[in-house]
This record gives sequence, structure tokens and C-alpha cells, in this order.
Amino acid sequence: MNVKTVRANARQIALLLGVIVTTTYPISVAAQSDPSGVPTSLSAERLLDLSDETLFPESFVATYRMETVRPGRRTTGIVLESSHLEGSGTYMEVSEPARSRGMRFLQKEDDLWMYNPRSGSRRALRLAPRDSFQGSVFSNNDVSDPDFVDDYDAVRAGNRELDHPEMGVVTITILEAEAARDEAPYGRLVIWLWGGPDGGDVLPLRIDYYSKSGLAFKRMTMFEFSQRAGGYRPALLRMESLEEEGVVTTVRIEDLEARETLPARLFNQAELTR
Amino acid sequence: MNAPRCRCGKLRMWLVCTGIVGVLSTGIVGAQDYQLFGSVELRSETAHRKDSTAVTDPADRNTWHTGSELHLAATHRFAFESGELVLDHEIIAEPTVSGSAGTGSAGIGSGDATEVALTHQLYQAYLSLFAGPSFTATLGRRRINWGKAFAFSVTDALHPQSPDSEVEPGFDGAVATFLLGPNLSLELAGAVQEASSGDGAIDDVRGAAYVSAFLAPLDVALSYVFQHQVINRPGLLMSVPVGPLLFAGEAGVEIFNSREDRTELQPLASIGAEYSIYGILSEVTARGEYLYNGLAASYPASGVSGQVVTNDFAGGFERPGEHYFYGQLSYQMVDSWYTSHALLYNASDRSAYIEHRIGLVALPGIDLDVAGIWNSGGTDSEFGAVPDDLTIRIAVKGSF
Repeated sequence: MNVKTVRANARQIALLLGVIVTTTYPISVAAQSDPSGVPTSLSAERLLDLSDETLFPESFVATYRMETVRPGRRTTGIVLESSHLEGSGTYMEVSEPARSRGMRFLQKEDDLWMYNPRSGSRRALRLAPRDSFQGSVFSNNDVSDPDFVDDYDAVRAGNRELDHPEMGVVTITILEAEAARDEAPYGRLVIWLWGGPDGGDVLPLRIDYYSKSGLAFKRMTMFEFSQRAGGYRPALLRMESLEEEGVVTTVRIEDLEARETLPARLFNQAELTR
Repeated sequence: MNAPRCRCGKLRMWLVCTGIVGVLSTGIVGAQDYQLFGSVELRSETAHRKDSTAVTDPADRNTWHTGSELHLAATHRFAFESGELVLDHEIIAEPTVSGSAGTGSAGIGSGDATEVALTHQLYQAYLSLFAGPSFTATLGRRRINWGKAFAFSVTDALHPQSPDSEVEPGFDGAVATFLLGPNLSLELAGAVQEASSGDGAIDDVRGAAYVSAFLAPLDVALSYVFQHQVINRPGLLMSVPVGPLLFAGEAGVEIFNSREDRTELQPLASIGAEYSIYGILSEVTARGEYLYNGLAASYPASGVSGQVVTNDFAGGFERPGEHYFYGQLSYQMVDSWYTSHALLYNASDRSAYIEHRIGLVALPGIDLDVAGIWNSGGTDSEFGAVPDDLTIRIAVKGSF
């Protein structure tokens, strides 16, 4: 055989192997999935990582519209422009309402600073990550640091049924995540993962938040999954307080764009008060 | 009302004009994004003048005076690819009283408001150029993120300060910001207020360096301010959360005694703690702080009065007392109403500034605020020298 023949045969073999791999891979994944459709071959830690990645890309810019409903009080809203760079932090700026426009937040590791240019001060205020973000059911940490994988140790905890308002009754995989360090904002998280309509995905449909004393005090449900920013992600997050009856905050992720990099100056305290 | 008043020297004027010209030329023409926010606020105030020599005109003593002001505050931000321009200013309209003021039957000052005096305050006007991923150059009037203390910063001798100014204006000059890492930055600043308002000597330029580092959970900064034969002040600033408390402190030493024109170590320090809970329905904040001013003897405040203004100079820290205590307690029903109570006590001359506020924030875009302000102390004390001992202020503010 001459060189041309050898190359042609190699291409045919590679093509054949490609066809075999392509056609059999989803079957093999499905075969390794549990009733929820979540792949069983993945470790709990990896599932927690994938759950984080489903909610948001590693680095991104986003626009959030946040509304909080409190019984007997008017519904309040806030619109935030957020920039998150993995390893550097999160910078957010309020664009609505007018009263808060221009207010900025910088999250770095477990700490958060707020600067209100209307205050006339040159000093940024340091906030506690566990505190409520602008009176919403979301905490400062929820809004500014959407990753759990760095702070929690996860284990699989079997399957359960979930009656999801949008997906209907689905079988899910329970992922239990315990705080791995004292600075973690919650004592425990229970993450309800679904494999999606075709199986093989890792979609968080609900997260239950527990305090360090063991009290379940809020619950987040995800809605409106669609293809965006390079992944199948929710566009609506609904956080319900289990302590204050009827208090609910919804976050609509209006724009979401994955980014490879962002200007470093956004994530520096020196630039926060500019 | 105690609003800071500006005075423009040649060099400072040039710098401010540079910023404004920059806004007009580079900013407006090249801006890719324009952002505007601000407020319109109507204030009415009734104040009681003391029956003491703190009120220079005897006819004014033990009388009530009323007044109103309209404040239009705006921040303009022009962003373009390699920088931004910021203009932060306020226009204050105040009816002026013409004719003779009388005490009236109830001792209330009166007169005919026939004119409106307009005052323009320029708090910031600067041009920033992003000259690389880790370097920003700024020219104009601006303030930089300086200080960890709650009441006032004892290490800050760069920014103009006024004990009772609501807005902290920027200094006039240039800033070079170096981002040395994700959690480390260096700012080098040169302030020219005194150079421009005096004889223009280069010696009057005040230089400052501010290194800020976040070593989780410790937020720490090193500062240094220098002006030939006036200021030579290194400082250390930090804040750290410990359990539910946030501790914040500053320490510095002024090495030069400008009054006696010799080297002398004069310490400055503050230590305070904050406890806060930001909940879904309510917010509570409590703060307490002690401040020590080792400059009390050598830097007596140059103009203690109801109109204390130091923004003519990069005058920095100028408090007359040696020991201060500060406390604040505030409570807010989220998006409904709030109340706040603050005390600044000068233990050296036993004078105090006390402020009570209550406000309504339940209406979209409109805030209502009522404040009661007390100044107590002897006539020659820091707060007792203020002519008004009680001020009641009502303000309605709309934001845009």
C-alpha cells in the first residue's frame, strides 16, 4: 500500500470509530443514569460543580431584575448589572430604582463592600455576606458569589419525586452539601438535581438552605430553562423565605453573557468609589 | 445651612477646567455610555439661635429663624473605551432675605424673600484614563477610597474636610492608580489646593500614597501624606470582622509640628466596632468609636463656627478636641421607614453634636426626612460655638 492508501484507510477507520462513539455515547450515559436522569458516573463533588455551572458560567456579565413581595407591603424592585470573574470577585451596580441608582457592590472571597455615591462619602461600607441583599430573601453571598463548590462537601442522598411548577412531577437526585469551612454562609444545602427531559444533564431545580443550627429557612426554585450563555440554564430564580410567610424574591436574569476575561479594575477596592 | 463653599485658585481652576474641557471634548464626543443620576430636594429648616455670645449679633440671640433651600444634585458619568469622565455637583437655591429682619411677636425672625441666591458646589470633576489593564491616571477634582473609621478618618490629610459638611468633596490634583494584584492597589496622589490658592510654590503641593490590600478577612491599608514643612504623616488602617462585629481602626503619627516648626511625634488613632443585621423586613446598625487626636494642641481648628469649611485647602484633619466618642444607632423597616440617632462627643471641651432622624421611604422615588440636630457645649467649645443649638429640618427628596 502506498502512503495515500494508508491515509485513506486511517480516515475511514477514524470516521467509523467516530460514528460508533457518537451513536453509542448517549446510550451509555443513559445506561449509567439513575431514575432522575442524572449520570451516576459523576461524583457528588462534580455534580455540585456542574450544578453551579448550570446556574451561571464561570465568568460572566449579567443583568438581574429582582423583585421582593412582602405581604401587606408594596412590591419592591431593583435592577443590577453584574460582572463576575472567577478568582477575582463580583462587581455589581444598581441601575434601578432611581433612589439606588449608581450604588455599587464589590465581593471578594467572603467579603462584600458597598459604596453609595449619593452618600457623599469617600468610604465604602463593609457588609456581612450572610445578611440580606437590599432587603430581599437573597443574601449578599447568594447574589455576589454564586458558586457552592468551594465552600461545601457534597454527597448523593438518593432519589425523590419533585412536583415542579413548570416541569411537573419529576424524579430527581438529592445532593446534600455540608459546609466545609466556618466561613460558608449556610450550614447545609439540599440541591434537587434533574437529568433533563432526555437525561444526562445536571439541572438544579430547587435548593433548600439550612442555617448552621439546622433550620431550613429559605428555598430557591429555578424556572424557564433554555439555551443561553453556552449552557442550558434557568432565566428565573424564585427564593422563598420559610421564616417570613409570604415573603418571596424573584430574580429574572435578563441578560447573561459568558466572558473569558473582564477588566481587573472592576474588582479592585480602589476603583469602587471612583 | 452649612454647605461648603468653594474658592478657586489659578492652578486649581486650571485643573478643574481641564476636567470640564475633557468632559466637553473627549467625554461627550467619544462617550459610549452616559449615565446620570441625582436628586431634587426641598429643605425647610427652623433653628433656634442661642442666647449666648456664640451669636455675635445680640439682636439675634434667643430667636428662631426659618429658611428653605432647594438642592439639585447630579452625577454625570461619561464612559468610553479607555476611560471615563465624572462630574458630581450640586446647585443650591436659597431665598435671600432683604429688608430688616425682626424678631416678630413670637421671636421668629422674618423678612421679605425677594431674591434667590444660587450656589454651585463642584464635588468631583475628573478625567480618568485607563492606560493599561493595571494603571489608571486621573486628573481633576476627585476623592479616593480612603478610611476605615466610622466618624472621620484621622489618617486622611489629603482630602478637604469639614466637620459638618454632608458631602466630602474631592481634592484638586492628579492620581495614579496601580493595580498590583487582584487584592492589592497603590494610589499616588498630588493635591494642589494650597499651591493654587497661595503663592503657587511647588512646596505647597501635598503628596499622598495609599496602599490597600485585602488579606481575607483583614482589610488593611498603609497611608502616607507629605507636604514640605506642613505635613509628614504615615498611617495604618484596617478593618476585620470578628463574629458578629466589624472592628475598624486607624493609627497614624504626625511627625512634623508646623506650629513650632520642628519634628515632634504626635499620635492619632481611632478604634470602633459595628454590629449590623440586614434582614428581609428590617435592618439594625449600631456603631461605637473612640478617636484620639494628638494634633489638638498644634493644629487647632482654624475656623470653628457654624460655617466651618475646609474645602478651600487640602487641609485634611483639623479637629480641636483630643478625645472623641462617636455612637450611632439606626433601625429601618425595609422600604418603609427608618430612624437614626447619632452622637459625636468632644470629651476635651465637653461639647456634643446630636442628630435624630426619622424618615419615610415607602413611596417610590420620594423620600421624606425629618431631622432634629442639637449642638451643646460652652461658647468656646467645638460644637457649642455653633450659633444654633437646635435645628429642625424637614426634607422631601425625589431621585432620578
